[in-house]
Amino acid sequence: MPLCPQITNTPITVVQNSDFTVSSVVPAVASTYDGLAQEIDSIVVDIDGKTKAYYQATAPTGASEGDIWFDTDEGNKQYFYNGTAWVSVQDAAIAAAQATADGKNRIYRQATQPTGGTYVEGDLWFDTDDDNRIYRFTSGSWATAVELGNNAISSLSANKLTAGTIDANVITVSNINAGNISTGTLNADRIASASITGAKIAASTITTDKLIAGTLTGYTINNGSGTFSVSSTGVVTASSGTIGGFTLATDRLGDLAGTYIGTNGNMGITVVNVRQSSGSTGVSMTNGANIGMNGGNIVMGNGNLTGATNISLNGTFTINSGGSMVSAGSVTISSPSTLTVGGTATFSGTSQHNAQVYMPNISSTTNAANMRWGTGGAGQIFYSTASSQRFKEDIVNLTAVTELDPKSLLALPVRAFRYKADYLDQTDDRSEVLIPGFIAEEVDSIYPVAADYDENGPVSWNDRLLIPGLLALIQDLYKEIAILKGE
Amino acid sequence: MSNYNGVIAPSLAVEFFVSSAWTAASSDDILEIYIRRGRQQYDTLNEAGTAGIVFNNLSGKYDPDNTSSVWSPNLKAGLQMRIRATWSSTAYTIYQGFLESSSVNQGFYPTVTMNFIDGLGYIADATAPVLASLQFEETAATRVGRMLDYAGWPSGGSRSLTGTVTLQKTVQGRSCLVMINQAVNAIAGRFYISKSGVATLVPLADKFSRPTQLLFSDQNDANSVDYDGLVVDPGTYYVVNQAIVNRGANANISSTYNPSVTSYGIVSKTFDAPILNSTSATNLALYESRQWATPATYAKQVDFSALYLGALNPDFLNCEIGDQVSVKRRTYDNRNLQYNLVIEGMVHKITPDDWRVTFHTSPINPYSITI
Repeated sequence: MPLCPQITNTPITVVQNSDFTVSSVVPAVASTYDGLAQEIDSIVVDIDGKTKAYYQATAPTGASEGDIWFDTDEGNKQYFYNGTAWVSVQDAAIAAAQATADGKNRIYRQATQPTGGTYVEGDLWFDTDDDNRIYRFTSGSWATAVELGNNAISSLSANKLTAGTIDANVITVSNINAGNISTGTLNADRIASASITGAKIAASTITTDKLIAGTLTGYTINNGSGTFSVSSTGVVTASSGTIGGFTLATDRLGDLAGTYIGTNGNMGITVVNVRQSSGSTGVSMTNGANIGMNGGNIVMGNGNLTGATNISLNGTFTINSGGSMVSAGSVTISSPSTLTVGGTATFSGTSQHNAQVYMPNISSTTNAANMRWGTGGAGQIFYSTASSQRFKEDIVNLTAVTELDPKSLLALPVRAFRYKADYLDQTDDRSEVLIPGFIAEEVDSIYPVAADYDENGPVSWNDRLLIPGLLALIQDLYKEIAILKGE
Repeated sequence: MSNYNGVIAPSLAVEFFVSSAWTAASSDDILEIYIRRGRQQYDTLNEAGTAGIVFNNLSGKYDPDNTSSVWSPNLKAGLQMRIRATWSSTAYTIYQGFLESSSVNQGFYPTVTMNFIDGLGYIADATAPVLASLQFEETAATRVGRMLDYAGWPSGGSRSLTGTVTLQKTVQGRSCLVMINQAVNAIAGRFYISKSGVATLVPLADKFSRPTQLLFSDQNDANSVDYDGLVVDPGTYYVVNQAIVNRGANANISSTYNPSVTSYGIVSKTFDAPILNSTSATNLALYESRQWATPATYAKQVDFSALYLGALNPDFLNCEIGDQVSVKRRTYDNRNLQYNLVIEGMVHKITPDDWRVTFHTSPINPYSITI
């Protein structure tokens, strides 16, 4: 509601009373368009109060000289009142035009023959209850069989032909619906080459004498009397001859002297290239089958040699850079063969203890054994660092370096402990046995340089870094003993 | 147009209906808006509402021949446009119409003046075809609806038609607007295109249900609007005391209110109203011969500025043809006058400096009858 005060406009109903004068009048001439439309049937117009124009069907009475009458039932024919009678004042040209029109031929379209009228030569009658048969009025009567010459029809739609027969000698057809050919014989010359499909030929109706040349395509050739036959089940049988240059024999494909595949499973091959085609998964062999090679190599490009069974080699097995050998089972290289790995050899077991390396007949040596295992989880094998001064610098006495003072080792607790049950292999000699040793975390806190670490912190102590300190302490002990002895 | 910032005055937007959506022209481009709706006097016919908008065309985008314009190729006759004023986040449509012509000034300060016309202009151009025979005995609302159909006016929410008086059959063949005016006469009602573009037919009773939108006062009344122009008429010029209802072929009905005739002589007016029923025609004649039979001074025009209306902005922006306003005036000889008025038409002239508004008004009268 608006904010301003609202005006109260109380209605006062208008009531018809003595204050009003009300009248109803039917107008002589309606003053509206609709009124005129209703009253135009009869119009009388005064002209200067003297001459009148009448517009009606019957001759007006009481007319004065000069009045005009439009006879509405005679095409509004005009009459002039001469003081005594109505005389036609129709334009002579109109009468002439009417006479001309009357002289023209008429066309009748009705069910019965026109009668009782005035007919002239050439009038036409379409008999509507006789399929519009055309009659022509000639010599005083209606004549039938009016023919239309060719020139009378410039174009006729084929849709108008629905019955009867058309003589084929006068028809040239450019497009005919085959469904409308239902009788008679079709000349073979009228059949286009390569247009009959097998679906149009009944089964077992073509004999071999109809086949002279060309290619026969099918899965069954059921003759069986020659040296080559294909059975109804698809078995090809041939005992002689060649296929693609391979000699056929009863037990092999190919000549025993050259390349062949025999029924005993032997295959004589000089050179075999197995190529991977698009979508192929390669070459697979059934379980128990072997590839026996007496000399020669198996060379693989970027593929993998993978097998759940053993791969046995008597020669050299080489995996070039970028390749890998993956085996879910064991890999055995029989003596005296050699395993050469150009990259990383990984032994990854599925649990803590089943990744093992066996070297049972490894040679013994009096030289320092320099191989060390990394303390990290990766389990790498490293050479121990060398001791030659060729590889060292900043060489000083150990006791001269404060942070490496071996006397701090005197504080290192010497512990006894057992390894947790799941740490050592159950077959290990010290499994669950109390053994002496150090604790890596204590080594780290007292003599950190001798502690080794993994991602979780101190993991082991390094005997190669602990021993020099111990020797330095022993040397000091010897010196003190010598002094005490007075030596 | 800095005054139209939602504080001094409502913000303004000119929107074109393109690609099935209303899209606003940049308000920075609007130099002037002129709107005229309704009629200047109650006893004249409603005129088509027009609007003229002057755009700054330095950018060239309001030139209808500029195919690079963002509005191309829509700036052509028939383009729908509406003018909206927004106050306190509420948008009010104050004009809706169709582009009729454009005038391009390609001078050193290029401008484009677009001229718009509302739906009444389109209806006036349409003709009801001649029928082969008299047809359609129907209510005023139905007949107006049929005329709108001939004019191609959309249906649904674009129409609000009320009028139950039954009209005679017709052969038509006249302007749709003439036919509509017959229907309006028959119900003593009002037909207009609303400010939001709705073809509206209201009956006689509508004048008793319209709100009083504004109070104009020269005395600083609460919730009033200051005005600076007031044109009054003694009312004797609009006296009608004899009404003739012209029903075409049917009997015309004439009613004369004799007390008025005694004072002012016969002042007759003919109403082209093809009412079917004689009683209804008689009631219409009685009403029309009485409602203006007793003259009273009234205000026929109120001029004011629409700046700084504050909380009255919604009432101002809602003002529609047929709504009521009131004007208070204390004369120099200390007479207190009040005019209660009906809005017959309105003119807005919006420039950067001011929003000038003129309301054309007629006096409220209390007379009623059931037709």
